[in-house]
Amino acid sequence: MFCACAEITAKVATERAHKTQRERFAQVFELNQGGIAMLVGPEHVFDYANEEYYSMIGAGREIIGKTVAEAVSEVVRQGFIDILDNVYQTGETFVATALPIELNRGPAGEKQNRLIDLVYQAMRQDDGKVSGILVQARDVTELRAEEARKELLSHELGHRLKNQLAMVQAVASQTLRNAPDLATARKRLNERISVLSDAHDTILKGGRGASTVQQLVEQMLALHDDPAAPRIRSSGPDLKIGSRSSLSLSLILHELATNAVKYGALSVPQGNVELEWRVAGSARDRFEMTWIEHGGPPVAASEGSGSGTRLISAGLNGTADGRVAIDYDIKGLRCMVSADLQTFQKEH
Amino acid sequence: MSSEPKPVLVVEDDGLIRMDLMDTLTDEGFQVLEAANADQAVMVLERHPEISALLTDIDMPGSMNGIGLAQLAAQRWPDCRIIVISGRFNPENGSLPEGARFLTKPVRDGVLNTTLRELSVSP
Repeated sequence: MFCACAEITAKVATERAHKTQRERFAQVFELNQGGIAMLVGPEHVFDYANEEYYSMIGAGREIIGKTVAEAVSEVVRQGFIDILDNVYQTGETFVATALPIELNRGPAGEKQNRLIDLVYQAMRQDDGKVSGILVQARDVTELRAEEARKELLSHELGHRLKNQLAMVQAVASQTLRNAPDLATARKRLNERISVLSDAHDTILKGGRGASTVQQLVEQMLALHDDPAAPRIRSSGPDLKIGSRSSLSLSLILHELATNAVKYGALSVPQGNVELEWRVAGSARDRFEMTWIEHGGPPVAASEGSGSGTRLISAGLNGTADGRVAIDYDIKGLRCMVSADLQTFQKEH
Repeated sequence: MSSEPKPVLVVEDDGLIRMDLMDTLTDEGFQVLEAANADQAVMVLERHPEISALLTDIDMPGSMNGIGLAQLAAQRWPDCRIIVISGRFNPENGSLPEGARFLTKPVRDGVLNTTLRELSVSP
């Protein structure tokens, strides 16, 4: 049986299927995360470009039907036409990563320097002759900047780690040098490394450069003072501290407190300590901290020979013009630690 | 062999590390002078031109870093041996004066001593 209607219906169905497939392919290009453009002929005339390609070269530019040299004229003197000519003539693919390019893509067409990953591939017709070029491009400027930032950060962390190991080495060696016996050395070293570790927590928690003097003082108080009957009165402004200084300040506070508990004002029930810090100097360019003990047993300077005193006198790490003065006043030990404020707060 | 003991100079902004380096050198029998930055180091070198070796960190606050100090010392005190110590920098060829040595931080006691002897610096 011959049925014209059935045959027509089949043809229409096939055409519809083709159309659907074309639309799907068009969608694939549109949805692609990279910029895609098709150029035809030896003059490289834009035949198609997806959304992403437009946003890469500068949204709103009229390019379809124009040659690359007309439509994106700023790339001519950057040598891109020569590369396209070469791909068209030889059929060889051109691939480049993080290629610097200048594009007039600003909101008012102003020039911007970007980095792109770029591929030019020859497209061939049935007889194998090159008829156009497929352009795939991706703006990697932000990606590369982020990579560079991460690389810098990991380099910085590596350096910081080396410095901290050197510091731990110095602390260990000072502890062992001056310890009366191995058990005491072990205990002291354990405490000191824990203090450094706690100080490090404030650096990690607060993010880069967000430790404050107050945080370090609180850590010391938590370890050496009783919140129910506080004996260390502390006060000072909210002051940011750099990571190198924060490690040494935490160690100094720990040693002062340990010393006070063992021999000083905190070794007797009636003794107490005044701890204050401030921004000082006529140009307000110095950090200053004072530790003053009251009501303890009479002080003898001979107490100043232990490893604790040596660690205190090492001063604030990473600062310019750092000073430490320990005064064995008979009424109670006084210690003043000071340094240039800018380097005290600086992130190294 | 010289009859007068000649001091070595340790330049390091980190007080703890400076103290530790000085202790190590003192244990080895060296007479040790110290400076916390390059500017101080130049003053010490001017007062003590007999200093036999300069051991300097690189990354320090002040007008000059340790590489600058090493260059200056090589020019002004050619007899002074130079050891540069750092955890951050690996100085590129040519940035250190001729004959200067580079050690990475933290420094091993043995390495410090060996390097000094290789440079003919003794207590």
